[in-house]
Amino acid sequence: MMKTSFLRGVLIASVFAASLCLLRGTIQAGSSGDSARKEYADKIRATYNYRFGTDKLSTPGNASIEGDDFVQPGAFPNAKYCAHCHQQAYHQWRQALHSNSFRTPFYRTSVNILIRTKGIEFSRHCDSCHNPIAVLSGALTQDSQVDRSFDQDGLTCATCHSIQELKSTNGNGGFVMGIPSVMVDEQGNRIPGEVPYEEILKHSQRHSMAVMKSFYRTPEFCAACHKANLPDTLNDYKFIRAFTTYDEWQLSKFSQRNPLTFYTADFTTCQGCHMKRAPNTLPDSGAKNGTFASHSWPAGNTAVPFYYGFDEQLRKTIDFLKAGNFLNVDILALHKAGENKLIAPLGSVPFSLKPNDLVETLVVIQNKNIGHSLIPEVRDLYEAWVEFNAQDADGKDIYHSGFIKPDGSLDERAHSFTNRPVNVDGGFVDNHKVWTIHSVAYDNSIAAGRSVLVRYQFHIPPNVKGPITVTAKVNYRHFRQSYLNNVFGKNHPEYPVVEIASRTRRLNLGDNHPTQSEPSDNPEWMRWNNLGIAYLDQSQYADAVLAFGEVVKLRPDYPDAYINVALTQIQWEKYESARLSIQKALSLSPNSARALYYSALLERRASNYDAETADLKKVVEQYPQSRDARRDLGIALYRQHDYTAAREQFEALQKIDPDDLAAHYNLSIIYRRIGMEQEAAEQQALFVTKKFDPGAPTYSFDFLRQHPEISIESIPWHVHTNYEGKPTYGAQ
Amino acid sequence: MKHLFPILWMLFTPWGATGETPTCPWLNLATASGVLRSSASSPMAVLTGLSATVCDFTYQDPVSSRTLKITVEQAKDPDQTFIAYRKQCGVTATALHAVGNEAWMCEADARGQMYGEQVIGRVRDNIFTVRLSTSLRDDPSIPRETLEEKARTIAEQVAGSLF
Repeated sequence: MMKTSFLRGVLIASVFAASLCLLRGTIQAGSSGDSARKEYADKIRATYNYRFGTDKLSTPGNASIEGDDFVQPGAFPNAKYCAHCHQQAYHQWRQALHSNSFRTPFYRTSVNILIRTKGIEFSRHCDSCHNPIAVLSGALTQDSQVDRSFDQDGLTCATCHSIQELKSTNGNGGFVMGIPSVMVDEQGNRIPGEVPYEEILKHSQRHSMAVMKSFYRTPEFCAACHKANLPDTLNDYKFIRAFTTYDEWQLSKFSQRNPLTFYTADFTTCQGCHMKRAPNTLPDSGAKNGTFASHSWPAGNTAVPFYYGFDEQLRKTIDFLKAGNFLNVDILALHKAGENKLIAPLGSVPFSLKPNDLVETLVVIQNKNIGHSLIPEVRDLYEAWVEFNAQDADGKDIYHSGFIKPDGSLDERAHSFTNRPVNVDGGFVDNHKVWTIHSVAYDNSIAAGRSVLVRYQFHIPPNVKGPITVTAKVNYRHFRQSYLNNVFGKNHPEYPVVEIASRTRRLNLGDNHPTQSEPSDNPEWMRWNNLGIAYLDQSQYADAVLAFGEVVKLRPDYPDAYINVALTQIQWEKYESARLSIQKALSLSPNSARALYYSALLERRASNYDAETADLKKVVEQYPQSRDARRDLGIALYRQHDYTAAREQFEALQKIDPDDLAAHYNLSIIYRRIGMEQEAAEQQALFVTKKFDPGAPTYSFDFLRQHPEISIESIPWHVHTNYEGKPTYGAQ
Repeated sequence: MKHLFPILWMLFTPWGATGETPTCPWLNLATASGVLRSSASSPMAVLTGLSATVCDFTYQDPVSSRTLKITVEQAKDPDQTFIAYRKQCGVTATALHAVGNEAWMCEADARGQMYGEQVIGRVRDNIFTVRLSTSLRDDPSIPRETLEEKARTIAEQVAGSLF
């Protein structure tokens, strides 16, 4: 007994002594780490190119680090170190986009042009997200003597898991990196660098405290890099918002922060789609109940796994693109030339066709369950388009749009969900030279939850053998063929084209009777609703009201049907009709934030400012992160000279969207009125640099004039046709 | 044409004439040292040769010397030129996936004096070679597998700079 007590005493004393030693060692390691960092940073600073200011390490990017000084690349533990306990994470990460964020030919081709033409210091803009270790270690300067072996790991474990704080949702690397640490000490202080695995296993909670933050699970974490702008320090022109995936999500039904969406859904974050939990196949200490949050981040990029031969990642990406009911393709209606009647919705109504008919097919593509636009982000490089095919009974093409040509390039007359950024010469900004963008000739991406209407007109040949089969597909390719050619030269393997969604209908020559719907088809009211949304976005207000009217007929108890009619009428400036529709919606759903918002706009129109404010306050109460409601409430309060309350709304709006022009404009005035001169000047400057350049469309017009084959894509209402008879307006 | 100026500069500007340290356009000295050195505390490698088409890095310690040689040639007929280069590797070459447009790796032992690995690759019309060698047959700090891995890593770095 005494012996046991003695041994226990010795053990406790030993553990205590060991803890003291460990703590002492930690403190010493911390201070020697600090001095090593200082020594390293002193060396880097001596030759660093401070083009953008001596206090700006990462400009034109936004990445920053605690201590605001350079850090040794070796401060970031290698991914293989993490792999010891996180085999599943390592295996997935190695094939994923994050680990290949820098090294791929697709990225290097573009960033190398920036480095060669403007200087390596400008690449801090791109690498704040693509290679933050390069930025924060001071490697992006002329004649750098930083060992770049970390390039191969891109965004390694210790980059994301060392972020300590998020800045505003401005993107371009809007994070504050901490000195990487995989464990905190007993006081919660971060221990820099690697520690022995035994220590981590003994103190797993302290490991978690070092490498996990609750904000890692939020969309704002993703916004740090999945949102980008082109600042004047990069383009010597003005601020241009490049892409806003985070904002697109924030405005989508999945955020539950926007009362104005056409449909509703359960709250889903970026991680909810791109980091789904699944059973782990490899041992991983981060697994919970046998499942692990995916570190494959499946999305749309098939090119990187294809190039590296990462078959597992490629399969996951293709499965992801095809799964989830992301898009709905609806061959919704036919319109025969010479007849006023729209044959819609197809499958539900009888009709007849005959040879020599000139038929317009209305295809509605719904961005049904993507939490951002189709295509998101780099729309000048990625390629999604509609392939439409009408074939006779022998499989012979009557009309084919959106085909791949023998040289691998896409039919230039295809309807694509891309954009065309242009430079000051009116030329297409090729190779993602974003610093030369001055305008965008068109952007045909589909916002989350919206629908587009694509029209295909074809002539039924006189001797055709029926039935005619029409198919509409949405295809996706990463990347545009011309970019692949720029990267590799013309002689390269064909990159995958993935069919995301499609629908086929058979058209008999003669009578066509109603047919059974397919499981993936939307219900009839939704088909009309989507048509209405598409018409609305093409400014075809009369047709939109008719389509939404069909929804009212099918679902007279559905408040949003009336709201949709009202919002169309508001855009059409038919306010009295809109008021009736809103009243009907509010009678069905008195607290509908969506109805109240449009009601407020109508009250404003009628100069009923108190009612307007009251409606908007109710909306903000239900949706405090609604940018539209905050903006309009700010305007309403400003008009009533309640500057304090208006300021509160605009400041809240800036926290949601730091780029909102109305917030910059109004805050600049409000701040000046209340004597906050410096803040007023800042807001004024932000307004000036962010506001639309009225001269910019000139460059777009130059581009469109030079490219008649696609210029019609810039017009919301246009028809794709093979008809070679009498020219029709708006046809291509 | 756009590459002509730097090529002429490197051909006709003697080192030191500009007061700047000469650098290899495809790989910096620190990264080269990283693959050549025995450990992080070992001395840095030295850039011992530089021209428009070649960078030579050398590392010397008391028991061994190691070299990294990079060559880049812009070819008028890249397919034919690449085939000619590939012959240096012989039939035992291994195809490397995802290094440039295409790349091959093979042993590059030189008459019992240097033991190394070589990568011959192509990025569009640029043909490049990377040769990593050590004077020790069984260099304890760079075993054969490590030599292969390092040669591949450097080849990927060089290819990345050529894209």
